[in-house]
Amino acid sequence: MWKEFSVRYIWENRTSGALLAGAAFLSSLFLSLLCSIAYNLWADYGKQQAAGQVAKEAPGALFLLYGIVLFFACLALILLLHNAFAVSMGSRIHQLGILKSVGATPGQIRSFLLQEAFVLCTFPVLAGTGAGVGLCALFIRRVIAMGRDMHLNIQYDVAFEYHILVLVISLGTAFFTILLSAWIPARKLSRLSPMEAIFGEEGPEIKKMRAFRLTSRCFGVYGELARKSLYARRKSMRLAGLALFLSFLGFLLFLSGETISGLSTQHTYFARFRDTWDYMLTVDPSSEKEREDTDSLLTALRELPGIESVIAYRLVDTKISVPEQMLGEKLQKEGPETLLGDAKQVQLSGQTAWQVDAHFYILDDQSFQKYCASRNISSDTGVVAVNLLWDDKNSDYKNRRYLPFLKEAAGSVQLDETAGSIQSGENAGTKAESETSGEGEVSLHYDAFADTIPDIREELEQKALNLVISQTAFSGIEGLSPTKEMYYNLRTEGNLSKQQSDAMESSVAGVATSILQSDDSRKNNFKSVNSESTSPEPANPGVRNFETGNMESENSESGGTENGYILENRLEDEQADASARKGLRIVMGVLAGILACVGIAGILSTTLGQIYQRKKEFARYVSIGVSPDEIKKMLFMEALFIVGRPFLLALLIDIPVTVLLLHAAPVTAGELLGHLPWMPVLLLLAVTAAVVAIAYMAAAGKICRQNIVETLKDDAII
Amino acid sequence: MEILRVEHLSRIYGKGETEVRALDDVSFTMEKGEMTAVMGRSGSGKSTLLHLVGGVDRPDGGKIFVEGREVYHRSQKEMAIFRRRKVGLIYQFYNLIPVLNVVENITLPLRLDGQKINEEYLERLLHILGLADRKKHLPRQLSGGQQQRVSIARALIHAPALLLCDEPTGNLDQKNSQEIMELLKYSNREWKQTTLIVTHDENIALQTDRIIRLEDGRIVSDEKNR
Repeated sequence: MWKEFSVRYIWENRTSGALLAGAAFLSSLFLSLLCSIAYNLWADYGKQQAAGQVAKEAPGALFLLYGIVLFFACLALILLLHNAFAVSMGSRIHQLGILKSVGATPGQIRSFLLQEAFVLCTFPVLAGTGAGVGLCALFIRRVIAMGRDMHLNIQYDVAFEYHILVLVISLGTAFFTILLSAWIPARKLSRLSPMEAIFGEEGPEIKKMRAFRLTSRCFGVYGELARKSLYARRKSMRLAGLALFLSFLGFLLFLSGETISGLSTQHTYFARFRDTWDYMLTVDPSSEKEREDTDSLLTALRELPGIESVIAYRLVDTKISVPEQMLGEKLQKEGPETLLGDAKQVQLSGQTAWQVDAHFYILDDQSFQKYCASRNISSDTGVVAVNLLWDDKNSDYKNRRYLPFLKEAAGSVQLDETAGSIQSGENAGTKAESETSGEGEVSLHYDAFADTIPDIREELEQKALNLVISQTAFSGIEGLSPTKEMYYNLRTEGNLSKQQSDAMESSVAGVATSILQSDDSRKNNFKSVNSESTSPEPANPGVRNFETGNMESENSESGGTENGYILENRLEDEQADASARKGLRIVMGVLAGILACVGIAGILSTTLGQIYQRKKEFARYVSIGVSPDEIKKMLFMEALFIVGRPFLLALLIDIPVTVLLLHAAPVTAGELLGHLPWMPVLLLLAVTAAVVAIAYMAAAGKICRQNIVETLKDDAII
Repeated sequence: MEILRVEHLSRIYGKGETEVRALDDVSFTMEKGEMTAVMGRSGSGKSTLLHLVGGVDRPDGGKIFVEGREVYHRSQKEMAIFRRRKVGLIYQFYNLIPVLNVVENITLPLRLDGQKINEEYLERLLHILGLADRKKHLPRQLSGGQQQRVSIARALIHAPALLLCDEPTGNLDQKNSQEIMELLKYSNREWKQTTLIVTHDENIALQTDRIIRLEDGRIVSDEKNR
């Protein structure tokens, strides 16, 4: 009897059944996708362990994380689906009341409703689980392709993996989620008394109602009625609305953040260094023999066909003390205590001095000569001061104002190795400190000033004083410790194609390997530099932290530590960055799409289920003179509010966050607006709005064809 | 002045063996300011008649004229405007909009019509109907009698040509029923409101000017009451 009853009901309420089936399909797809991805992560972890890429440990954290994610996913789906089931089951409350009045027990009603849910959802769950596996396979394939594009150093076979146990878990969680979602309203309905069930409920109980004056002003009386109706039913739509809101918010935040990050990387890295370097070779000479090798390497690199220039350089970070009278006039006038930030006031030979940070760029002699020639300066001492101090008190990060740190007159720097310091000044009055101490004193005279650093892949450090020093001049101040690495900044002649770029990379790597490979000590030394690194990865790909020598974050490096050098290719960096961003957008788009689908399914099954229950509400409107077109207008506005409200709320959060991000990035609002990917956002919004609107319009047509007389006469009809 | 004219009206539900003739060749007229009761047993066709006159159902034969104009020779939009402006419908179960408060429910037909609300008339209605201190209440916060008064106010706000009441006291106790009748009589007396009341309650019918009795969809008597 029950079977026939259910089959007839499902057939007569095909729309409502289809919506529930759709929600079950999407939920099982989502759960299956989660299970499949987790299994593939676990399988990948095992392969990494086998390949020795990670330590052999039990993947407990991975399982725990998977368990937590699965638990919350099930919980969210139960909260969402139980509303849809409640609406669908609630629409036949009158029928259930009659069944109860003729003697059906609560247990019979409950199992009848659960059986119906099981019949309705079995096929969608099987199909959804299968689709989830398929989607995961596509996703893994895409990730593998992205990894290939990004030249990731993976030393094992990566492929999509699946296991029968994953299928069992996926189906188990899907059925558990769906049946529990159905059991919650079934239990509630089975406990109603026959009279309560027969007379049903007059929609949601409305204790108070907001005026919605702004809505009324903007959308008229139909907008107000639609908004108030939604407000009255807000509880049942809360989770579906939240899913839509999170989908919009996540996608908007990701796109604006990613666009700003992309533009920022272009500005600060790719665009900035496009004419500065094509390859960057980093080696770590630590002995005299190795230093000789680096000289041979420089010569060999310069002789490579197609190479326009090679600049070999090293870097030094230190502190110097400068007598106050040596500071630039503007700096003295505006107050060193405010403009020098962290600088300390010290006493030096009885004079007031300022202890400040300094940064040295040590170039090979030939490159230093070229640097001076290109800036129309000459330096006999081999030391040029880049005399630019960023006035960070009176200008911001984006519109920097600089002023001279030193008076533009020749001076000297002295190393007091016993004190672990450098002394500088017109009369040896300036004192510089180094972490390394030694014995004796070395003077370093500066006699030229410039306003730019050499054309290498470095930025002007925001230090009080930046000095460009030739290798010969620097050889006199051995007390200072430059970074251990020697950098070779290579530029090629003209723009290279991808193929040419790869060929050139092989040539550079060949030269580096042939000159450096015999030296085992460098390998060990270099590895230790990397392993000591504790600094976080830089925000931009390819921008490295030279103080810690952290190089392992690079995407496109060849050679690696086993050959004692690292070779980076800017073109590959740029391509890998673009590929990673494209991949990330696809992944985020898919995630936002799934979340939007869950939200749409929830909204459709809730609102459309309710629309058929709201016959009386619309009949009342018709009886006081609302035309069918006006009913459609009202429903259209409901659909608009359902989609528009979470979108606007997401936009309201996204805008200030984007403004904050813009403030911190070298990107203008106009530029961001010009580059924002509007299409994916509009597409997500349009598809969501279209699905809800089409479903609403279909429901509106059915409502407008109903017999309002019967609806108005019988109060037992909901 | 003739407000309503019903000519040979018929309404048939179902087909073949299940065919039910709810109204069969019903004809009558109503003058302005007249208060008429339609009585009959359950299934006699009285509610069908009221809904046809009110423009919420369609007849299978015959014509209805309100203020001299045929009701069913109109488009769906014109029918909606007819219901909005020419008739006021009062139901046994009030049929108020649950999301709107008392004032919003009463003024809704005017707002749908884009008309300005006559605040003076609204206040007077609220005062007469005893709703002056319930303006912001939602329907659920009102008693049955109060909800029916809101329903009457909503029907009267447009000063319709015809006030149609379908068992207006059917869901109320004796005291509330009499109060509602007094209000209907007041509107009939004060504003010459033409009123057609469908009821099976003899006491209610006896308070009107005229009683039309229906049986199996046909008029079996049409008598002046006073």
